[in-house]
Amino acid sequence: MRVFDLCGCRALVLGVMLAAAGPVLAFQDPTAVPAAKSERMLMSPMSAVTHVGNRTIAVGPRGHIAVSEDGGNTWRQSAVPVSSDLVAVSFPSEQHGWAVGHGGVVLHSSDGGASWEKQLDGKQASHLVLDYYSNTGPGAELPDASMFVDREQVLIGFGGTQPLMAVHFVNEQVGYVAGLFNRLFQTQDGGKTWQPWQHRVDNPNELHFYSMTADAQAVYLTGEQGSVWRMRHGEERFVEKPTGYDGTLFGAVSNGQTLVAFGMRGSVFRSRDGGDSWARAKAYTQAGISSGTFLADGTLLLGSLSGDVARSVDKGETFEPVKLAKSMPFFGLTVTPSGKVTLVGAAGIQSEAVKLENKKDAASALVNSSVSIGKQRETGHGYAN
Amino acid sequence: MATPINQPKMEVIRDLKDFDSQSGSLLERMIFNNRLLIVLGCLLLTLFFGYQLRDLRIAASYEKMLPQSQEYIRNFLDNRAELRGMGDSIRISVEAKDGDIFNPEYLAELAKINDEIFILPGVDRPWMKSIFTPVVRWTEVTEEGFTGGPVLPNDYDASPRSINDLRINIARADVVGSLVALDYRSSMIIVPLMSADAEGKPVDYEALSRSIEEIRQRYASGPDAKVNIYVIGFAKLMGDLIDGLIQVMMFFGLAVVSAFFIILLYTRCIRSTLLVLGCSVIAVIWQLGLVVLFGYTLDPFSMLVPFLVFAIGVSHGAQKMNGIMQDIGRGTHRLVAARYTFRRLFLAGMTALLADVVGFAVLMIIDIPVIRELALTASIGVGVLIFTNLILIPVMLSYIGVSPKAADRSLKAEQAELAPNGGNPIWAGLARFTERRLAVVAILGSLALGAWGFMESLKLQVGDLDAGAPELRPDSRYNLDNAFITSNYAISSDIFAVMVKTPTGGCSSYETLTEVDRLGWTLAQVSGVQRTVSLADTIRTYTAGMFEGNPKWATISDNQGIIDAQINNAVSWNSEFLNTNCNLTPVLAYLADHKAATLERILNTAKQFAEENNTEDRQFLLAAGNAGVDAATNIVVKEANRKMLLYVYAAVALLCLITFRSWRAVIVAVVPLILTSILAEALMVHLGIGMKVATLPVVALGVGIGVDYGIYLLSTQLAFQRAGMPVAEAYRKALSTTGKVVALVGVTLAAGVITWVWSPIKFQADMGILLTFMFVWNMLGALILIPALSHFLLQGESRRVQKAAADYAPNNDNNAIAGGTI
Repeated sequence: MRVFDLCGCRALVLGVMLAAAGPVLAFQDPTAVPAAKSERMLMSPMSAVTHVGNRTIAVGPRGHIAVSEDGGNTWRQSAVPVSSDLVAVSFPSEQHGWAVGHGGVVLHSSDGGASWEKQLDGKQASHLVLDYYSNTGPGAELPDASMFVDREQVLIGFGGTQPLMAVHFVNEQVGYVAGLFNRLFQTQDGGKTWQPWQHRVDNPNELHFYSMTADAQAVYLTGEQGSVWRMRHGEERFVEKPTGYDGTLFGAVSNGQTLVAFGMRGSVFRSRDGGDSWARAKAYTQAGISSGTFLADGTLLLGSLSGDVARSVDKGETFEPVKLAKSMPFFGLTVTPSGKVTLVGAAGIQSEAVKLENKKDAASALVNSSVSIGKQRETGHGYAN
Repeated sequence: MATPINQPKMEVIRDLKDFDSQSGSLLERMIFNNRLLIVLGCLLLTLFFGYQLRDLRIAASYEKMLPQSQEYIRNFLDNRAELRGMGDSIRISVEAKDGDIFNPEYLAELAKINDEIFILPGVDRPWMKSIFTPVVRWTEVTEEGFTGGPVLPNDYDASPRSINDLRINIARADVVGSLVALDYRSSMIIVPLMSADAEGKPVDYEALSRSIEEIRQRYASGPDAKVNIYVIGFAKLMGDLIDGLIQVMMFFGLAVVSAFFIILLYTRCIRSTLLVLGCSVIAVIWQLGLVVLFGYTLDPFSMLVPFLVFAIGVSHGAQKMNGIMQDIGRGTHRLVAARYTFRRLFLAGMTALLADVVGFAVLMIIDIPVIRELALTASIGVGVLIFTNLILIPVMLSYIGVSPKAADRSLKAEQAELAPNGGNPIWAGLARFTERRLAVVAILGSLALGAWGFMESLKLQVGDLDAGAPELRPDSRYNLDNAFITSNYAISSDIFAVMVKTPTGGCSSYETLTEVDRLGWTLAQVSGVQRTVSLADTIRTYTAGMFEGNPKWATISDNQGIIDAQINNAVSWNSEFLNTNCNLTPVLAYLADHKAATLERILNTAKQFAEENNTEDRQFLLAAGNAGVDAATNIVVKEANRKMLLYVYAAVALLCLITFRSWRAVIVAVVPLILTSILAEALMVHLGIGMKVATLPVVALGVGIGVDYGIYLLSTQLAFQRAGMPVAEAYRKALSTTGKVVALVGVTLAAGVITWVWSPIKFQADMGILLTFMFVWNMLGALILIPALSHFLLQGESRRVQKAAADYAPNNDNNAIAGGTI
């Protein structure tokens, strides 16, 4: 929507003008304050990372976005019009990408991640929902329309905005963003306009969506209470494909043959039939598993919140620890075609070529590390002095 | 100022009957015609003040070292009660001698130590934290919600199974780096202290420090000790400082002994040496007694005063004795000799002492209580010297006299000095600096030295330059412990804090937390900042915890309800970032060091942030934390140093002008002092001493006391010049009469403070080095530069008098001039 572009630019220009005029006395929301340049960005938390062509793009808190064009050796901070906490990123092509996060922001880049513009924020998204499902809106006739309106008004009543937790763009035009309480939007024009899609998903309990991924057959959503939703390409509805688990699934990854969903307390589920049936892998850690990726040869890598990376060469049945030069709670990982892995997490960005350890030693090293690293984000409120 | 030339001639009177006891000033008659009363009065006063000493306390107060009216310090002091995270605490790290902490022997020792610390008075027991205290808990997010328990398993029985449970709980509780060392070889007991004990009395840091030291002795020494113990914390530091002070007190004895030998060497008369020392010690007793009466304590700064009072007392006392000896040597009765000396020297001595007072008094302009107290007690001490050394010494000498041999020797020496071709070869050598060639060399040399010193002094750093506790030496036990703890745990001992003040309940609003987060992030960008922590970080972590530990939730939600839930958690888990009213929350920055440049960088960044973001409801107040206080102190010290130098030089110049009544002479007297000040700063650069609270007074003291040399030498020289002598001759004469005194003063003053170089307290050692340097170098500067400068500036003084006063009888009153050093 052109209007939103203008709004974003105007806020930015206004902010610059105020800054130039002297102290800004009123509080400014992070959705209106550009991200600050930071030399420490690479050492500060990063939430998600993706790879496309020769670019690696990482997003994180405070509007941080970093782009590397050499497989993760050197990074440049992008110009970002918000300083909101960003949590997910999707690049359907080398030039075009989208990032979402708190404040309900959707950011778009058309220059390979170097610069970004705000396409949507939480307040605008609320209006979209209300307008769409209201009596006069295009979705007025839908069975749950009044419920969606009521829900949105309750959320607005809480104050604040609803964060977006997941994004996936099928191509430069078609994409989806998802978040709390069944929040789901689709665009068909590269994010210029967004349509509420809450009525196009089987989610009667309004569970939160936490991740989105896709393979050649379908797009998948994961979320609370062990839920996975699948929408085959060409369909226009996400169908629930429960894993049987009752905890949150942080994410999923698929290479077309194997779909793996992962989440709290070392939970890993695999499906060979696109989510119709699931099998649970034996837990190799008690820590939450936050991220995963398939290598070209079918090897699966999973990163955990206690700072270990495990590798499965049997399509997610058994896992072995991977020896790492450094460790931190991992939030995201991606791999370049040359096999170089970029990991992001609590301590920033790290890149390494992952090697498999001797199997026997590796198993014992893993037991040690799950105890000794001890930096479990799940338990993050320990008594650190 | 006394002009000896104009004094009435003092005849040699061998018999008391020939002496008119009603002669002399009123004061003199009052004193010497009531000698017994004076002695008795002094005795009673000494007993009285001596009795007061039973209440003399040694203390080291952190607060008194803070510049009280500085804006940032005010902010800190005003809000200190609300800063929970920065209350006093002691950290005790117990290290396993062999292996890691997961062995039953180590854990048994730790349990015992933990229990012993727990019952020490002053410990805020509910909040004591170690892996053995129940407040330290682990929590975990499961599919059903939070689960948790104490880190020490409830069924702990030292079995391998329960030790393994402990190991798992430690990992789950996220205490590695805080309560357990990063290498698992030691663990920490964090001991928060109450500000007052159950009876409302302030906690006795010294006693606490001693108790902990005793526990360390029992568990960590000896061949079968199973653990090492490392202790840091403000209370421990204060305890160590007080221990150091007691050691420094012992140095006083050393100073007395060295003064004894110096005076004995000078006079060769034991009884008068003992008298001078005795009277100087009496002055110290009075001074300390007055300190008690005023309700002060001896702190690391004011401890300098007894040393200075003693040294100044000894040098003045020695002069009195010098005069009396010469009179007695000529055959004058000892009472008459004492009265002559009093007559000649009382006014002069008082002027000299007043000059010292000026040096101290200037320090009063510095708004730091320890320095003000130092200034005040030093002024008192020097005031006391007027009684003990200007009055009591002559009175006592009138009773006991001096040994005849010494008196004879003194007279002969004096006559030898004054003989046309006799005298000390050193004096003759120094006198050559009045010749043009050597004068030019001396002045050019000084200029070069001054220029070099100035270039060096530009490198002078403000603040403390060493890591750890700057009060103590880098290799002190405390600093070694500190190094152990900072290298094995993820904590830094240098904390800079900005206090964010809001209306009651405002600390938890989304807006405040967002700003707090921005400030934390802004400070984290500053080079030298290791990391920052604030309530915003706590909320981020807790929010993620509330949502199944999902890292995507590590945010400050703009939904106030989500924040409030986390604030409740923070309150119930006793967060240090919240005060009871939720109107103050600190943003802490852990620094890599507390060098002035680091502090200035973070201070400027924080200041800019505050200026740009302060609103009525949200004030960003600088600065708390030890590094914040250091940063504020550095600002004050830097300003005070300039101001103080200006004042002290102005005061000294004025004093010299009154004394000499010649601006040229003022230049001659002051230039050597300036050179010394510059070189002292260069020395500080060379020795790695920063400009700080402790070194501030040194310059003022050095200049104030250092000008004495110039006054001694120049006043005599000018007297001779005005009596008609040319510069060279007048200077040589001045040297032979007062050179010895100048040397004596320099040596006794230096001997008084040089012992401080061995003080375990770093800043006292720094003061000792600098004062010694200034006392000695001022002396050398005076002896070399005064003649050289006189050659160019003071020739006129002689000619003027030569022309005007042909009938003036020069050189017929050596006696008066010799005694009248001022």
